[in-house]
Amino acid sequence: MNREIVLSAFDIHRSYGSADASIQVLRGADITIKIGEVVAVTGPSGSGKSTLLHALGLLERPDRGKVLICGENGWALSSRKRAELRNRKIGFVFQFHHLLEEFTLKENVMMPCLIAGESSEEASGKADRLLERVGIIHRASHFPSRVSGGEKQRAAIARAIIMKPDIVLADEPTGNLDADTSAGVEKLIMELAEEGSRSFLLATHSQDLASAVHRRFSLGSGVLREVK
Amino acid sequence: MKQKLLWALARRHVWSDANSTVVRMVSALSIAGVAIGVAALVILQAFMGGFTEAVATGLTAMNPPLHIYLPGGGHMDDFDLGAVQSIASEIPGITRVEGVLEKPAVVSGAPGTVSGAMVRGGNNAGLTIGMDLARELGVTAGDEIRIASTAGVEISGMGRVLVDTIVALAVDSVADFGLEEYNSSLVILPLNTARDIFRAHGELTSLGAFVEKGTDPVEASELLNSALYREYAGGGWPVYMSCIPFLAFHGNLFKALGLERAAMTIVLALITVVALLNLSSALTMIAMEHRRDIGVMRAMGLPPSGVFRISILRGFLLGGSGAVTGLAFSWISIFTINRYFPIKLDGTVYWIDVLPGVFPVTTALVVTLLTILVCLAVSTFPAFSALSRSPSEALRYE
Repeated sequence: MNREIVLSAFDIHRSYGSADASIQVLRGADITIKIGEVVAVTGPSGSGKSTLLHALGLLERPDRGKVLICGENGWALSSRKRAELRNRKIGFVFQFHHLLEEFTLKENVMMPCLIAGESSEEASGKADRLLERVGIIHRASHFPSRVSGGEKQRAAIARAIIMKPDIVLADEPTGNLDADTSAGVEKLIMELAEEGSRSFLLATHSQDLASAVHRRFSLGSGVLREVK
Repeated sequence: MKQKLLWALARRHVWSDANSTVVRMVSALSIAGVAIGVAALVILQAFMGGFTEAVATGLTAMNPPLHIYLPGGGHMDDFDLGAVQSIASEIPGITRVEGVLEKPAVVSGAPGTVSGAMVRGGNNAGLTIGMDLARELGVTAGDEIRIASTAGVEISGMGRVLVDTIVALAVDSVADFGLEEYNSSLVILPLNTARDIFRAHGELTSLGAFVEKGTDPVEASELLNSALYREYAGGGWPVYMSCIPFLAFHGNLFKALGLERAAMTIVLALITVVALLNLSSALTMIAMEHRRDIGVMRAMGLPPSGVFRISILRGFLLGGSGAVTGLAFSWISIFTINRYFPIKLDGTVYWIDVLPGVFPVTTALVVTLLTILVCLAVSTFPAFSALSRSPSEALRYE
């Protein structure tokens, strides 16, 4: 196994609907991402970017194909092992932040550590450092409904990287933010990728973000192509 | 993954300041529903059980737990008493056997007062009368009453002759016998005095046997009956005496009370079932409200077992809070009613003047535990439903 590769996927197929009215969303997608690489997938709305990210992030089983996370065949594992793999190796950032409304920003950030069985003190220390890093430590004890969209997305990013995952999958991380806030979040993502030699796979519409990454793919008609 | 985290998630899903008002209202209503159901069941049992117990206690306080009598009617005498005493002495649990002579009489106290009474001669040191009868006769301890026996009528060659059977006796004490029936009519005095009043020397109307604390009167009466049978049938004699537990005389009353209690329990159990159905729909709503959150948690690595446990814990929290609240509410209600708002009854109809509430510990615990178990059972539906969805489906849920 090539130790440089954190994620590789082969021949990913996914369709929705019944046999007679099926929509082929992914038609044999292949992708490989190395340590520290920031990769973007662009494509129009409904092109299957989220489906691809969910399949690669072990959230949605593809009809066919194989996903290796740090060499482990994710879809061949039991659901418990797969959950563990997601917890340790993969971070997620969603377009609508998806923070848990009943928990403060800090508690949200701590959540992956708590799921992993770490103590509250340990998780709290890590969360404080990350909230400081993403610039929202002053909002640590606020509930998501009381902070701005940009602050929510920064908390979501901190939550995605608290377990020091090998790869972060971000689905339209700036899709729901205004231009200024988007720029801040994009800058933060690029800095975090550089700081931690962490790989990012971003599904995005943002030309600014797509132009700043190391490699870029486009998804259209179910086919994933690298844009040279 | 720690249990504490799952508890925190379940707790905040059902109740958190950050929840929507609808979720909080649904949670509060389902807790209240379960609480009312549990409290209604426990309070019903407390008062129905309290009534039965008060009547039974009143009856047994004034009567020996075992009653030995002649099935065909007729009077017994000291010989029968001696025989039964000797047979009963070998039966474990029976402490003593006494003879009773009980007959109706007319009593009068203060001038112008007169009342019918039941005069019971037994193992009593002095003369005790029921408090309502004392009030009616206008007497207290130390006053004199006159007892006239209708049994003192003899037929002679001269025709019907009224024998002077009016006896004046001092009241030693006035007692609350527990039941209105006894308080308004009973006069208790020594056996020999009763025999003098009724001119019935050596005569007894029944025998009463007492049992040790903890001995079941039904069991003791069966043992005494078999001993009587062995004694007489074994010797070729007819078995002429029979023993029954005193409360069996009022078997129909207790059966009717039991039937009423069972019927009301069923009605109130149905109320609790309705509350549990409401709780089930509340859990489904809360599960739908948090479907996406569960998807996020799964993306962060929450295993399927965690998803399942969160759903079960939500049910436990709502049902458990409801059941425990109901339990506490029922205890407080029973205490408050007993202490500050006693339920008055007409003693001439119900035998007792105040309906006592006796907190039914075992029933209350069984009802609470059963309710919690059913809550856990109904929470499995949203739990399995959450498991059947992929994290991706849950994340896309809007």
